[in-house]
Amino acid sequence: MKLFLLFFPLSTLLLVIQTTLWTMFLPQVPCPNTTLLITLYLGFQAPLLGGGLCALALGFLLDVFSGVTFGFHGMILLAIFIFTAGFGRQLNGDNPLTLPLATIIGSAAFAFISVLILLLFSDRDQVWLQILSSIPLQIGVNLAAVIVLRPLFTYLGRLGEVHPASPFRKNP
Amino acid sequence: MRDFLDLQKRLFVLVILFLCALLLYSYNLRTKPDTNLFERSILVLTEPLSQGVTATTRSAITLWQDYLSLVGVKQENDSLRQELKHLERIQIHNNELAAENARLKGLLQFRESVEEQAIPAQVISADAMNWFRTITINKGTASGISENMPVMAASGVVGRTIKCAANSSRVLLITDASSAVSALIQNSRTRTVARGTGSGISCEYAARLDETGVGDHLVTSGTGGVFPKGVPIGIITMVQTPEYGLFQTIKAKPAVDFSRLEEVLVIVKHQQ
Repeated sequence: MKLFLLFFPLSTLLLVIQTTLWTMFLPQVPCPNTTLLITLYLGFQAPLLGGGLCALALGFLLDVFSGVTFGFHGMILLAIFIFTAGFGRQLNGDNPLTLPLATIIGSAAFAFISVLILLLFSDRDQVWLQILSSIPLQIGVNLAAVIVLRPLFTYLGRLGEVHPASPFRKNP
Repeated sequence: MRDFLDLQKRLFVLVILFLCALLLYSYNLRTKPDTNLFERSILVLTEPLSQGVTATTRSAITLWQDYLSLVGVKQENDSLRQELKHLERIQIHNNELAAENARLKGLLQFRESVEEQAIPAQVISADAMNWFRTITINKGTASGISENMPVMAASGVVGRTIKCAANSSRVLLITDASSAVSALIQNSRTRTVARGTGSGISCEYAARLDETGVGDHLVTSGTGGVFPKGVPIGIITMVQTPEYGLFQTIKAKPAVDFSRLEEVLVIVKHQQ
């Protein structure tokens, strides 16, 4: 609950900033996917169930600010949370390079899952070209954003008493 | 063993959650666009913040630009005086044309009837992701706006409302890949579907034998049930007519410059 109360307002605030100020001052540069970055952080640090629910809520929040169909981002962010919690926690969470590496993989995964879902469920037959061509720039912007936001995430993680404890290990 | 079972249980719950999210998405995809309680609450809560940030930033930009423009104000003043004289002449000419127009309308017994009400609104934010094309405006259900209402700018079609809260609404732009508008190519009267491509518009199902040229205007056909007839959508920029097949490949540039869009009009349809 603490986790949700800390990261949900932060995500809302970041989304408001990126939908208003970012598009006003940097219209040609893609927005960083801050919700994805928070989900990745939660994937490494948060408890499995609480983090999963929080990732789903963040996805629903992103659906309010982006896209057409409610539920689209919720599903993607939950899938990314599960993968990060499952595989990312095998990496050393204290290493400063782990989160940037996860950002690269996570950003690419976000785009590929989006394409897959849109092609399977929707009739947006031309959107995949647009998404795939934007992946390199999006990864760059997300990397820059994660470097800037990481101290804030760590601070909030400490406030929320989140420990890098993997539920996938026997004795974390 | 207990740890392992506990982990399996939590994983199972997450998988169930994922399936629920998948079902929710699938359900929303197949039902009429509607704004649920969660979306409405978030839109209501964030609307003052979005509007405040946008208004403050725009004021700051205007203030700065006004200060900068003082530098060349004398020369500009002189040229504006010249321009004013020129415009006065045009004004007199226009008054003549307006009077003539009124007379002709009377002759043709043209009935002026405003069947639809237009609500002006300001753009307060854009889409949070880069591959969707939506904007948020500062008017919502409190002003009589609901889902699926056409949104226009002075230069043409902007899109349609997809999510509405009390004081804000999300608008799906015609350039979004999920947007499709029933359209006509003005010169040839070719029927087509103007579908968004992210940056522009592609015209689908335009018959191969119909003559279409670059520079032709694309307007709404009025048959889609959302947009009124004859509103500009864009200008044709590319036409490819294959030797065989049924349809041409046509691309168009939107009539509205979405990067500079600040004010729009929402056409409120009267209840039948």
